Amino acid sequence: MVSNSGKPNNSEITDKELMELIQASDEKAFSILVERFQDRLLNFVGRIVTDRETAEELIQETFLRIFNQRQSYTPDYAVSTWIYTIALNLARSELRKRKLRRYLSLDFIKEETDAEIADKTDLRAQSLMPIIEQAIDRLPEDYKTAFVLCDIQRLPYQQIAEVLRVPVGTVKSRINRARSILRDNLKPYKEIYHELSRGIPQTISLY
Amino acid sequence: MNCRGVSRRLSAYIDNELSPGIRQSVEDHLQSCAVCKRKLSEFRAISDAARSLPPLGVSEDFKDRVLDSVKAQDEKAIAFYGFRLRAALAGMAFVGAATAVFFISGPEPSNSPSAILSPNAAVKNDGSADRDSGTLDFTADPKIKIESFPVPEGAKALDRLEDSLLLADSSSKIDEFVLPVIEKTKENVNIKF
Repeated sequence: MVSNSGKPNNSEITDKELMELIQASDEKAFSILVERFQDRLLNFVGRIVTDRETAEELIQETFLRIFNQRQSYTPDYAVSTWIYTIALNLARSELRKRKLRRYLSLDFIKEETDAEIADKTDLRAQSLMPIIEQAIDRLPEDYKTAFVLCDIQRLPYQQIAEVLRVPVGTVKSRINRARSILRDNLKPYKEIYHELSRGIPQTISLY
Repeated sequence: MNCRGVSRRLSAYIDNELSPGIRQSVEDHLQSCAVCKRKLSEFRAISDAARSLPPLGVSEDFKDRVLDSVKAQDEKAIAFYGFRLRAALAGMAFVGAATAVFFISGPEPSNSPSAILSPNAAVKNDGSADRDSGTLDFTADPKIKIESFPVPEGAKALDRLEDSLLLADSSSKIDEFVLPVIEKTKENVNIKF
């Protein structure tokens, strides 16, 4: 990498301007990009693979790919769309590996339903958030990805469609279906469901 | 719009992704349908719950690790391409040196005896070819005279005749009539051979 004249000190620099500097192998610009996207990517990939250590490794690999493939970026799309796409591909690859490992080890036989998990869960010892995290984790991959991009990353439907490379109508359908599945899966947790239906989840403490 | 149509559009309604006309239709239905209204409330709660999940943060040294890994990768690439460059330069230098040696020491003049020998023909120190170890190239220039080449007996006799005539009589008649005949005969012998 080459350290340039220190132009990108301005935190107001846009993502596309940053990418132009990175395409010229500017080390400082790349450092700013990492700082700008690292937490967003962790909250995206971390919610998909649900393993923080693996998520960090995947994000590190994402940034390496961003740098290595910097010349392939074209300003037709938002920089964030391009970055999310790279991260998503890596996360999907990780999920496929896990799925294969799970089938090879026959662990899928032991999988429990949401109702079984709810019966075993000691609600008094748990707050609402881990239960919701688990419910999100148990969503089918396509629905989970769309849901996380919408409700955690807060991307507009159009950008989600570009990241997932599907029509906007498909994005609408997947997000609606994801919320519907979550609603059904959280029903066994009657107390939570009751509180959820009142729309004040962030204040709940189940004691 | 009926319950099914509204149910399909609830998420888009929450996320403000509906066109104004459809949004108005959904709102009209929600005012009169308690079931869809309750479902809307649950969807909103789930969305709010997901948005209020505690954000994950990367470890403190994450950025440094990323930058270090990029640098390490760059150094590896430089080392790799440096090796390839050095190998290419070494190859080019070898080819250049080999070419120079070829042109400097080069092939021997074409009228030397070894030039018309096949590659496996041995050449003796005195320049004569060893007939047992190699073959002669008869396609080469027939005018080339090889020192070691066996002289036919007829040609030797003509030489002797020429010498004896010159010694015996140096008259102009011999020069004029006899010697040209002998020369012509010698040429014919050489060409035929």
